[in-house]
Amino acid sequence: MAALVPGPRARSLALVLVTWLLTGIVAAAQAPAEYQVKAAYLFGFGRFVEWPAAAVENSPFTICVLGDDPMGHWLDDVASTGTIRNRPVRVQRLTDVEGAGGCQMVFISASEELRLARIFAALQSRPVLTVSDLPQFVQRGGMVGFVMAGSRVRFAVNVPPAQAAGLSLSPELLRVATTVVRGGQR
Amino acid sequence: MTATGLPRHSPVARQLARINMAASASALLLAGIVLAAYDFITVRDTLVANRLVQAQIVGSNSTSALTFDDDRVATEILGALRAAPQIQAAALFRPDGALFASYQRDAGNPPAFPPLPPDADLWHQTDGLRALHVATRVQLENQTLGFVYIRSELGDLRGRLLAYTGILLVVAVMASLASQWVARVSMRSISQPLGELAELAGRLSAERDYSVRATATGHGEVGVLVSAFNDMLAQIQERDRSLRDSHDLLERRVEERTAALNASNRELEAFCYSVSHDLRSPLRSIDGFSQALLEDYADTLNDEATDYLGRIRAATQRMGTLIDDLLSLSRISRTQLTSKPVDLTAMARSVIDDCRTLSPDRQVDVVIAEGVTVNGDARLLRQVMDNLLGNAWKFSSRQPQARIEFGMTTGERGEPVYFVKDNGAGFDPAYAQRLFGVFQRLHAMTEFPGTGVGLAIVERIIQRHSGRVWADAAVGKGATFYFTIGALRNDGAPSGA
Repeated sequence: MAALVPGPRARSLALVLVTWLLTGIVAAAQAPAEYQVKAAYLFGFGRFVEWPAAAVENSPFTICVLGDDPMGHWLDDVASTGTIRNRPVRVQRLTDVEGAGGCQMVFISASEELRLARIFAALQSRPVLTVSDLPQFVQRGGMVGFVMAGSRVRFAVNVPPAQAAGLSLSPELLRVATTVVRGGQR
Repeated sequence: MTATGLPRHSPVARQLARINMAASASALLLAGIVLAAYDFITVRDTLVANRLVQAQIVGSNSTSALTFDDDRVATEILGALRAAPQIQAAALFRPDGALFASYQRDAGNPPAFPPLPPDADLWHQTDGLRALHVATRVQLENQTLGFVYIRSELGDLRGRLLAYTGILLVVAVMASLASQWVARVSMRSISQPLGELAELAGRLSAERDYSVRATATGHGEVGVLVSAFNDMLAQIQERDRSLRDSHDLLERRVEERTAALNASNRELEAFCYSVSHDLRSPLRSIDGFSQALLEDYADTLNDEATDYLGRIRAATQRMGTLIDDLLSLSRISRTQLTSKPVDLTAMARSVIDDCRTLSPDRQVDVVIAEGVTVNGDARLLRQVMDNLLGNAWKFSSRQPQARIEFGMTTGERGEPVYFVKDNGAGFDPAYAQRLFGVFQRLHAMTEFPGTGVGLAIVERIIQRHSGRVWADAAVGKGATFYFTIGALRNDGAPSGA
């Protein structure tokens, strides 16, 4: 029986092991992965942008991912937890912009950089919020572009194309954006 | 107490004013406390509601900051609360309770997560009168984004409460003073007559002056009291006067009667003296001529005539003695007495010696106590001893073995009592009181000679010595005469008589 009882050394070893494990878990919890944050932000954009009534009628709110999906299950997880504009959220993964007809929001993956012009053309004036983490996305005509500020995920906003698409970006959203591009049209 | 201004400070007025003051003050205090409590609760609820609205505004402004994890913007939003100086601190918390952003008016530790119940959207708590804590849940589309917490001062409320207390105290003091004044003015009609009555009663018992009257003011019971008091005073005064009048009348009557009595007494004594004195000269003539008849006409008078003349002489001599006794009796009341120690023992021996000389053939046992002395008038006391011992000698003359005793014993109150005792004829005790009257005789003249004045003289003398004399006897068993001697009294005697 005595042989089965761990000695003091064995116990301290176990303590160190447990501590190390816990530290790792806490560290992981404190610093969520970049794409986990981005997935959550995508979800959040839905709540701070207003679509024309016709665009969101009678259907789940659809977030589309165009190209290679860097967020994976994070986005599905977020989508399953809440609603946007009081409607369930659906995630649709597309390989081509042609399938984006039922989307209210399109995340353009970095893999689509070369097809960007075509994508913008396809979505021209349609009530679809374009989001991407491509560099200089808003300068290139996108509506919301992720930028990194150190380790933190932030975003820039381009108002004119959103307005052209009939979308209304809420002041709250503009407030937390790092850069807001405003058109001189109005 | 003075006659003026007493009702203002009389205890009744003060008491009434105090009761009035207490009543109004307590009513005021109660009303004030209720009002203050109501106001306090109302103001506090309003304050809580306002703070909660403020927290909700902050929360809805912070939704994007919470959603997009922008603590800079959140801090900015909270910083706007600087406009409200009562807000000490505010904070935004993540759903898991971690601090997201905070604002503090003054330096210090950032606020801790409030103890908000898990499913509550609003929460508030007052920390005594120091601080108010409110918290709200920040939600967007049923998803909790975080919590807003605001801590604010209750300075307004505290100030309000202080102001209320101050106002209440000031009003209470003023109302008390006012009620006192009102009470004094309105209760003067009660307290003034009462105070006057009290003052009057005090003066009455101190000075016994029943001529004073209370001013008949006031109505109702007080008025009745005052007039009843006045009536009572009038009655007392009336009774006093009639009492004094009748007393004076009595005094006067006593004086008059005493004077009349004295006058008639003096008249009577003078009359008695002069009569006794004037009776002596015809008596002397009768006796003298009878003696002359007996001596000058002894040859011509037969035996019968001689016998009659002898009887006339004996009768005139007895009358002479009688007159002497009466004179001495009246003299006792008229003589000025002198008090000095008198040796009664020696006096008794001298009297008995005289008796033995007069009837030397009698055999009498005489016992005389030694060393009996009293303070008194020697001449009068000699008369007492003469009479008492002479009587004893006389009334024991029929006894073959006579016995006479003079001695001293002790009375009921411890006073000395002197006595003369014989074993002679005695007398019926039923007549003991009559013994001391003038001309009172219990025995026939033929049995025992005497004028019947002796014991009257004794009594008069003993009375003038403030003493008592009494007798104790039985028929055939002898008699005992007792007397006491007190202080000498000269009041009955006219001075220099």
